[in-house]
Amino acid sequence: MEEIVFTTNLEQNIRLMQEIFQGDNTLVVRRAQSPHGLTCAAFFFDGMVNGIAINQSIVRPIVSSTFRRATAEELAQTILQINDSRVETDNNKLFASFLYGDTVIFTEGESRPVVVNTKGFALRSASEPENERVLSGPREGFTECFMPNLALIRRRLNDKRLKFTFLRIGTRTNTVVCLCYLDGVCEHKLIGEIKKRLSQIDPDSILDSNYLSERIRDHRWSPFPTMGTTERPDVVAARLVEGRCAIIVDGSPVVLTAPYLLQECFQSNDDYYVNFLQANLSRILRLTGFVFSVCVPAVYVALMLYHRELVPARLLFAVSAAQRGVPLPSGWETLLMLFVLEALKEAGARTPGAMGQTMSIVGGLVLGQAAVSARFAAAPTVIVVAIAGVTGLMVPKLQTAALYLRFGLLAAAAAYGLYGVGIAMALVLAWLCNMHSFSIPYLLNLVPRVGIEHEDAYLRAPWFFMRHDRFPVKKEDRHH
Amino acid sequence: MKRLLFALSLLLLCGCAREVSPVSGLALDRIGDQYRMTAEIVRQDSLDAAAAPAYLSATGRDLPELLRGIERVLGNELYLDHAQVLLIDEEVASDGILELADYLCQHEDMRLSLRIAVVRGGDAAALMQQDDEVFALSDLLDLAAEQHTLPDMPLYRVTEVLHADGTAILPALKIDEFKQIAPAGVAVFANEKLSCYLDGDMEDGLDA
Repeated sequence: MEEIVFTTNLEQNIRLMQEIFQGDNTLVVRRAQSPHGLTCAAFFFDGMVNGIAINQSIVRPIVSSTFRRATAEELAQTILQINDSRVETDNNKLFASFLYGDTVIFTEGESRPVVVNTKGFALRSASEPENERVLSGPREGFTECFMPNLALIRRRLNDKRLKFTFLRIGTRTNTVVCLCYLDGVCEHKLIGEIKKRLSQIDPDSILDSNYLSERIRDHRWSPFPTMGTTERPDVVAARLVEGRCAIIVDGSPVVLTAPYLLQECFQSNDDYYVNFLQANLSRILRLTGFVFSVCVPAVYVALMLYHRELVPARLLFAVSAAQRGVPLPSGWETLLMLFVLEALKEAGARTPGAMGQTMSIVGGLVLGQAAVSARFAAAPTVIVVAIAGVTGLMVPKLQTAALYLRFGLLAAAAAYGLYGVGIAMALVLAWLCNMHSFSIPYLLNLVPRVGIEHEDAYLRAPWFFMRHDRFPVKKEDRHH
Repeated sequence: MKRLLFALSLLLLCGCAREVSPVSGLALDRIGDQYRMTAEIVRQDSLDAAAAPAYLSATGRDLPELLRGIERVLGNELYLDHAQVLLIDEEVASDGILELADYLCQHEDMRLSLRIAVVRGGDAAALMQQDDEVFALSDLLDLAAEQHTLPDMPLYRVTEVLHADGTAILPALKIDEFKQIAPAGVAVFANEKLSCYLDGDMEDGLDA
C-alpha cells in the first residue's frame, strides 16, 4: 500500500480521502463549520455508524464551537463531546478504525486526524445458541459483534487478572482477534505458545474462528477436535477459570478455547446446571451413545458375515428371515443405508425450514418402510443404522470423528469380522493416546493413572466435592 | 482415489452373503447297514411369520456322507451352529456312540452344548417330527435337566465321561400314548454302548 500523507489543507485531505475510497458510495463526508470559523470534515461509512452520536457529539459541538481554529488535540479533548476520541498518527490504525465504523475528522490547518468511536451497526441480540441449548442455566450466547462478546465474558469474571490481548490477523480482512486468559491461572507457556502460533500464520482473511482453529490446532488432520468451540460465555468463563485460554474472533460468535481434551467432548452445559445425579446419568448415556454410534453397525456386519454363531438362535432366525431376498451383502447394505442417513442429515441441514419437514417425511419413508418393503434393505439393518444415527447425535462435538470411525470400523468388520473391529479400535486408542492439545495429553483424566482426581472426567463430582482451583493439568502432565 | 475406492470395494465384498439354513436338531437312525440322518431346518419367511421346522433326510455310511447328502438335497450349506439336539435311535446307541461324540466334538460348527438323547423304542426321525415347534425338544430337555427328571448331559460332558471309562448316562425320550414326546428314563451306556434303561425320577443324584 503506497504511503498516504495528509496535509494541513482540509480540501486536499477531503479529495485524498475521496480518491482512496473512490467507487465506494457508502462513504459520507460531512462538512461542518461554526459561525466563528472552525471548519471540519467528518468521514464515516453509512450504515456502520451511530447517526445520533455523530449529530450530537460531533456535528453539534463543532457548529456551536467558539474556536476559530483548533489543533487535533483541542478538537479531540475540548470540542468533541464523546467518550472515545483520539488523535491518530498511524495510518494503519486510522484506516482500521475507520473501516470498522469509527468517524475520522479533519480540521482546517491540521494534518493529523481525530478518530471518534461512533460504531453503530445492526446487531443480533445475545440469544441462546441453537446448537448449545440448555434445560436450565444461563441462556446468553455470543454474537458476531466483538466488544459485546468480551463484555459477556467480563460480566462473568469480575477478576482483575482477566486479560484481553488484541491482535490483528488477515492481510485483507485485518480481523481483530482477542486472546483472553486469567493471568496467574493460565500458564504463561500456554499463552506464549498460542501467541507464537498466531504470529506464524499469515492468512488473507479470517471470517470465522474456524479459519484460525484449523491453522493453529494440533493434529490438524485428525477428526477429533483439539481446540474447543463454544458460543456460550458461561462455558468460556468456566474454561478460563480452569486455566485455559480463549480466542475470540471478530465477526464470529464461536469462541475457541485451548487446550481441549477428549473428556470435554462428552461434557454438556447442562452437566453443571442440573443436579449431579441427573447430570452423571446423562453423561453415561452420552458415553454409551458414542460407543454405540461407532460400533453398532460394525458389530452387526461382523456378526452377520462372520460370527452368526454368536447371535442367539431365535434372533438369528428373525434376522435371516428379514434378510431373505435382500440383494446386497450385509456390509454393502449397511454402508448404503449409512450413506442415505448422512445424505438425509446433510439435506436436512441445508434445506430451508418449510421444506425440511417434507424432507424428513420422505427421508423417513425411504430409510424405513419403503426400503424394507421393497427388499432393498433388511429391517434389522435399518434399525442398526437408525441406532447409529440417533446415538451419533448425542455427542455433537464428536460427530465428525464418529462418522469416520463408523465407516472405518465398518470396513474393518466387513473384511475381518470382530477381529478387524478389535484391531481397528486398538489402533484408534493408540492414536488417541498419542494425541495432545497444546502440550496436554488428549486423553488426560480418561486413562487410569495413580494420583489423579477424576472430578470431572467420566462423571462430574458434586459441587461440594469439587476443588475451587480445578486446573486441567498439572505441570508434570505436560507432553514434551 | 481410484485405488482407495477399489480397496474399499474389496474390503466390503469380503464375507459371504450366504443365505443360511439353520439346523435346530438332528436325528440319526440305523436303516439296515446304513444310517439315515434327518435334519430339522428352521424356516422363517418373514419377520411376522413364526419360525417353522422343515425336515430333510439323507442316507449314508458315515456322518460326513450324511451331512453332505442333506446339503445336496437342500442345495445350500447346512448351518449347524445353532443345532441344539441330536436324537439317536436304540440301534445307533447299541453300536456305540464314542466315535459319533468325537466326530461332533471336532466338527467346527457344532456346539459343545448340543444335547444327545436316545429315542426309546422307536424312530428318532419320527420323534423329532412329532412336534412342529422349533426348539421344542431342546426346551423339553433343558427343563427336564433343570428339574432333575433327566440327566443334564451336553456333548462335551458325554465325550468326557465316555473317554474316562466308557460309561455314560443319556436322557431317553419316547412318544407316549397321547402321541406326545415324553421323558422315558435314563439310557445307561457301558463300554460306550447302550446297556439298559433306568426308569423313575432322577432326584436321587443320578444326574451327572
